[in-house]
Amino acid sequence: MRGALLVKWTVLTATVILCPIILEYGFSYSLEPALQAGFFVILSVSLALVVGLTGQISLGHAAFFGIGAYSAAILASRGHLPVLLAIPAGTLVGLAAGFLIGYPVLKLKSYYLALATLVVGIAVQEFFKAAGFLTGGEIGLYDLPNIRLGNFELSSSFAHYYVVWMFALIIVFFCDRLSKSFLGKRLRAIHSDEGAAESAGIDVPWTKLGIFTFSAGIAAFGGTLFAHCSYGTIDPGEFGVILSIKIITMVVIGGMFSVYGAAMGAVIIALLPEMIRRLGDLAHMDLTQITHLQDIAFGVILVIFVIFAPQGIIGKMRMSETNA
Amino acid sequence: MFLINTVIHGLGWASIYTLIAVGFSLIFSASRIINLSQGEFVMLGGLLGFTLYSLGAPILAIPVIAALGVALVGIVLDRVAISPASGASPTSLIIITIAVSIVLKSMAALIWGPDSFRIPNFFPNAVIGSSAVRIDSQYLLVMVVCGVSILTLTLFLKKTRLGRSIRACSMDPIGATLVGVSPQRMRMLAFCISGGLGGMIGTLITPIFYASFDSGLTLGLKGFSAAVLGGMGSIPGAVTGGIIIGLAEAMGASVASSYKDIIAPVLMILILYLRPQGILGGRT
Repeated sequence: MRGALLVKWTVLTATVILCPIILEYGFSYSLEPALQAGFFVILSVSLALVVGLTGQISLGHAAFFGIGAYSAAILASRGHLPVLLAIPAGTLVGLAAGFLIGYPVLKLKSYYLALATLVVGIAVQEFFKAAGFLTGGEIGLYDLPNIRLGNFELSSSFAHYYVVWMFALIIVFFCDRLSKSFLGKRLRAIHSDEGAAESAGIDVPWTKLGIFTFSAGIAAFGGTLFAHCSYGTIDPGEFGVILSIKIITMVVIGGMFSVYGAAMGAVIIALLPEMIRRLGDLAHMDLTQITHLQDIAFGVILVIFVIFAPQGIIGKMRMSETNA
Repeated sequence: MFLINTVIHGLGWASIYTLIAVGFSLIFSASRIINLSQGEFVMLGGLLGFTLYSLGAPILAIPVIAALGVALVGIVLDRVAISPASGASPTSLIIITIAVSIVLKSMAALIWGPDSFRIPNFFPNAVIGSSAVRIDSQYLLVMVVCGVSILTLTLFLKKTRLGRSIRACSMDPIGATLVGVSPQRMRMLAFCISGGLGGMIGTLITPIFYASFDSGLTLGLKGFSAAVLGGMGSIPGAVTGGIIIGLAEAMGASVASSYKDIIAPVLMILILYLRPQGILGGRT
């Protein structure tokens, strides 16, 4: 078992390390989708803890990504805090927001919870748009500083890619361990039956709040990286309902229960637009048309998965294994 | 005088939100589905209305044709996306309706492009009243149409056989099946009527609120907040919620206009926390 894990991770790490080199020198592709995939992996894995493991739906996860990004960006560009301090500070703000939002919202169940999280996500985005004195309004914030290690500035897209993916892999590893730990078993117990979990001595409300806060913290950390380890610009349009739904889609495609599945779903959703773009290029569509085509493809895939394969790709594969 | 204008303005928007909320409530009571693509029905109605107007259709026929068109969209949506998933969890169904709304919105963007469109007021004299109290005639029309629609719909649900069948499904789907009512048919009917309502209100507001491919989410969210605020699945609840959100927004806009769009979500979060079944809702 331990050996298999080692092999799995060696292959995974090697792929992540080699991927940009092959893309850049082999095909002269842009690194943009691969970098995007790194952020999506962080978001998807963090939400898998809440949705897949604990069975609590959240349709507003993009809000925490945005809160992390904006807090770090505001602290670094307006508060002149070094980026290496702004990143943990933004993560802390995300944790606090997760706790404050989760505390009232997690008392709700089923579709009331879905609605409340959806609306919280929209309200947070509206706040980014409205509070122009802090967030730069609709235009957002730009010229955000890169991470600096001493005199060395991480400004190339290669550096961005490796930093983001390093953290993404650490988060995948850690969350996978967590889902298989004693705590993971408690979360699964809450998923299958809250009443039974309660009577088995699990403090259901606090455990739910704890994992929701933790998940919000990871998403916010991803957001801080997005602000300082990407293009150096953020605007409210990036943290809307559509991102929240994309994150849910990644978890659904991955099959809800598996952290690796969620990571795989993230990579698929990150690479999908690139494939659609090539199709659109063939049909001579312009850039905005291609964007809409990408959204249509993404919506159709989501509907198909929820209807025909709610257990996701991994679940489908496992089912065919047990049937065979 | 300023207050009177604000209140009239607010009541106009209240009627719009009420009609959107009624669309949500109808589908919810027929099938327990929360249809988050209701706002896209309104958006489609507006854009369809503009196309009809530019093709030279008589102005009073526009809302009717647009309503029929969007009612058809509602039926297709039910057949293609909702019907194959019946039996999925309520949360999965919500996710499906969001995905559908993303698809509808992007399709509209591909067809109509990124521009906003406007059609003129339905009546020639656009502003009624003296210099102090001024009422846009379109707001008056919206209020009247809202009143008539609500009355018709209530009578339909209370007095006709079909309407009573819908209510039977909302009370007890299995019981309804036993007496020969098909919940699937009633769900399709509800999607059809809600689509029609959405299409109609979409054309009526195009003179006030420009129609564009991305106007659905904002409108849908507010109508939806109104439905939750008043109590999902009840028409009086939709009216109550619509009036509260319409007035709160008009008041809020006159104080701090950039925060106007946060009012509805915040009210909805409050009511979900304090009283999830809504103001007029019974115990759940």
